[in-house]
Amino acid sequence: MDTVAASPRLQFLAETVLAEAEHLQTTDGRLFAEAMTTDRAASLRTDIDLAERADAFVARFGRLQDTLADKLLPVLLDWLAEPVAAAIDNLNRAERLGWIKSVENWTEVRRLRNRMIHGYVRDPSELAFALTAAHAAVPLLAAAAHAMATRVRGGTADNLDPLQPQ
Amino acid sequence: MRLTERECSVIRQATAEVAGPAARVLLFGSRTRDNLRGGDIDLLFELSQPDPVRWALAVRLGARIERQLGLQKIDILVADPATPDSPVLEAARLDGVPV
Repeated sequence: MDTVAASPRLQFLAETVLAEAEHLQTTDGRLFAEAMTTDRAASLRTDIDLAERADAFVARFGRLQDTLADKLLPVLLDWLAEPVAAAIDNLNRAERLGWIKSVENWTEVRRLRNRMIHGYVRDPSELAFALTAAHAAVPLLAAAAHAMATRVRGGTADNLDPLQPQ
Repeated sequence: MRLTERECSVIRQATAEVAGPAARVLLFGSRTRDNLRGGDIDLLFELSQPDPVRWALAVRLGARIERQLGLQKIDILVADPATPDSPVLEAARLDGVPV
């Protein structure tokens, strides 16, 4: 058992990722109620409401992944007396502890982000691909948020399968 | 070109594994200039056949190389014979050095 209580900062970050995951899932449900086809991606240039929804999705997606990897993960590892190192090493440790599915997969998901910004990706088929792939990765980010937040709350993430988010 | 032998070999291996043995990879941008320092690694992958999922390849190639080199400053372009010309692509081809 952990003998040191979670710091207010750690508790705050754990609550934050859960809230961010919920916000992401809400926008995800709204944006992908219809499939993101190439035609629909092309209409982002003229359909203001759809474009705002896509912007919200991209922002929430990026924010959750950054809060998880850059903010919560180092503080959580430190609390567990695990060494805190470069970002890539922290992710490797998160994979070993079962909080993320795989570092390579996580990195792929991060690399999608530049490709789904409709302001500067001109090819609608590329936009459609990136948005659809990010949509498919939402459960993965949500599972990571739940696994890490559960660990902070004193439980273990052992009984959570990151591939099968609830 | 400013890439170490190890960086070249990681890039070549990832190219063969992810994009197939017929794919070509060119380094372009600031890393081709020996008199500069640092900078992103800009790579252009040229596929021999049209590939409807070339975007997915770009993401997988970038992640694989990034992971193995432990770097985050890798920018990837993937072009196939059906990719329309663009100023960026033309500049990359003109400037590019095979890895």
